[in-house]
Amino acid sequence: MAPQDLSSLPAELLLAVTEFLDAETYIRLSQTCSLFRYLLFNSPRRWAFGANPDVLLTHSGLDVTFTQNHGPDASDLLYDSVITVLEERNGTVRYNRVYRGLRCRGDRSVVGGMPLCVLPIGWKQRTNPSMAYYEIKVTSTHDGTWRIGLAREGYSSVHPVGILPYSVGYCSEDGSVALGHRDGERFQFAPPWKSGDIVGCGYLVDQGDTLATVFFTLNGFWVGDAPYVITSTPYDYREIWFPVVTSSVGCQVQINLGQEPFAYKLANSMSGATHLATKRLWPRPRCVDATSATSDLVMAPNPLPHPSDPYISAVLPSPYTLHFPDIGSTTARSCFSTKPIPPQFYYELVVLDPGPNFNSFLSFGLATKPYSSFHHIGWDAHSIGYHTDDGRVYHGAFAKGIKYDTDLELAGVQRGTVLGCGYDAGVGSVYFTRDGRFLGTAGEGIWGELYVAVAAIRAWKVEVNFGKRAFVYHPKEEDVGLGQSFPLVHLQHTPRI
Amino acid sequence: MPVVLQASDNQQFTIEKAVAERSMLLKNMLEDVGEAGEPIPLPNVAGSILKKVIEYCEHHKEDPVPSAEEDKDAFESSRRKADDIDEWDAQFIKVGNEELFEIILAANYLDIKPLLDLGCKTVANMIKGKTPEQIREMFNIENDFTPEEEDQIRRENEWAADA
Repeated sequence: MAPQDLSSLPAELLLAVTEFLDAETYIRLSQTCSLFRYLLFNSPRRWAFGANPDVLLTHSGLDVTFTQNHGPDASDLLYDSVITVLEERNGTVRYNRVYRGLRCRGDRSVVGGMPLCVLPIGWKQRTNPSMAYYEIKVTSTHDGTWRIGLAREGYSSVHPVGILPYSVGYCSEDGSVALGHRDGERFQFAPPWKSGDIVGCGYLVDQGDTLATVFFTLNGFWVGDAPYVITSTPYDYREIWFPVVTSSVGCQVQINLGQEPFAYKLANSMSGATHLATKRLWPRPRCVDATSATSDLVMAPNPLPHPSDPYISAVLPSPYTLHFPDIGSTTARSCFSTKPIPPQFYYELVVLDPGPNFNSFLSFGLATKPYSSFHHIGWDAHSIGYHTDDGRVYHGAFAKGIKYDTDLELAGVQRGTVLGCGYDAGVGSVYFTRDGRFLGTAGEGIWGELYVAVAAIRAWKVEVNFGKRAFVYHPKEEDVGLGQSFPLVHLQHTPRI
Repeated sequence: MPVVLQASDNQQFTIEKAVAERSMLLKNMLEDVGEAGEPIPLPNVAGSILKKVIEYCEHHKEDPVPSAEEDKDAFESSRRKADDIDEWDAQFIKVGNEELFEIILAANYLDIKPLLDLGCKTVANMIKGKTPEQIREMFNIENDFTPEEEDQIRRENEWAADA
């Protein structure tokens, strides 16, 4: 009866051993024989979302029930500490209070038992070698707020994900993304979501790199990349990221770690990739389509999860007139030209209706595809855009606009304001104009398959002029770009997926 | 009042009650049947292993009994650490594989949680950092994968090697 080999131990003792293993060893042990492979990849204990007194787990551990026992004071606001920071904006110094660990008493988070890792580790459907991904579906009869996201190991069970450092979360109530390293600061990101929606979270690894971009999906539709880059190497499990779900009310959450096909098709296989981050898997293409002509350009709205409310896209009465919907939400809708621009290019927008003043602005510029349907131009990687709320230029950044059009505050954007954007593939420079005035070079070294990109919300109406009518701006000698002949670098197409 | 244990090979051990109560199985048994003084038969544990287990219990008889509360805390730190073994325990558990597995089985049968954890941690530490091939060799595990499965595993590893 003496057990000679490890596999003769009873299964529950083998699993007791694996509780002490790190993820890497866990996977290696699973590669020794078929019994271990079966046991380790079908162990609900290992994958289960864990351990929170207010949470019940079903047998498989992948249906989490948040119990409603937080009492009438569940909406009390709590915080861990408060710090006062000096903030200078437009010459005035303000004191800003930052609440660290801000949360409601009712908020509860559950953390996955295994990290989301990029190894294609068995779990049936998880075959995409560079992506880690999971989906949740909340069922609740109560109104509540939920978050889905990623966090480092050992995340607090009473803080919503995206509040403490090393975490990021997509919030249901307003569709914002909360960043832990900014003490839970929230950024306009994507549409709000509710119970019944399938919401996904994952990251996609850059090839040959140790960085990965976090992204979110809604009902199988990629809504955008979070402004959050994480470090992740397949074998460095110290840099590991765990799935985290937060709920403020009693509800049930179904978690799909790959045991069923995902609603987001790209997570099931690499084919049919439409994800923005896949662009980063290859060196940035220095291709400009020299054959495309300005006369071919027409605008079209970027696609949305599904056509019903509240996912309303911009309306185009003609291919050159964009009407952005007024739906109360401040989440932008983006429109792109259907074809890439030629190497030397300039276009103008005539503002027909500047929308309500509050909380609404227009962004426009140039960007590569695919692009989030909900992001202002300039937020996503490989895009550059001018924002009419602050006159800043955003170049692939959510919060770090460059001070650009300093006179905008005085002049404002009204009905009839003409905004322009120009491009020269020679040095890859982009510039903007307002009412016929050159505002300076906004960025250089920008190459790629660029499209005309415009985004706004809340009753903005603009007309796009690709040159059918005369431009308001006439290039002058001293302006960079047009009028000078830069030697064109050798341009050619790079194959893309 | 001493307790007498009888191993599968009829070897008998007389131990203090405090030592026996490290085992939840024996503790419950003693509470149920009272102290009859009769030898308690343990048909699943060999004498040599029982001796080891008693040695462990003797050393740890002064330890506080883990309460249900603490158990919960231990579970909360979901993934547990394998490197917090104290010196005496480390010496105690330096045994051959076969004996180690038997100690784990006995600790599980007798319901001695700290000893079970110690055994599992030791196995976990042995596996750590080893390749699948090395793990197979160490524990006499037979590689019974089909060619298709082998292929799948190779792909998993290729990806890891690329990066």
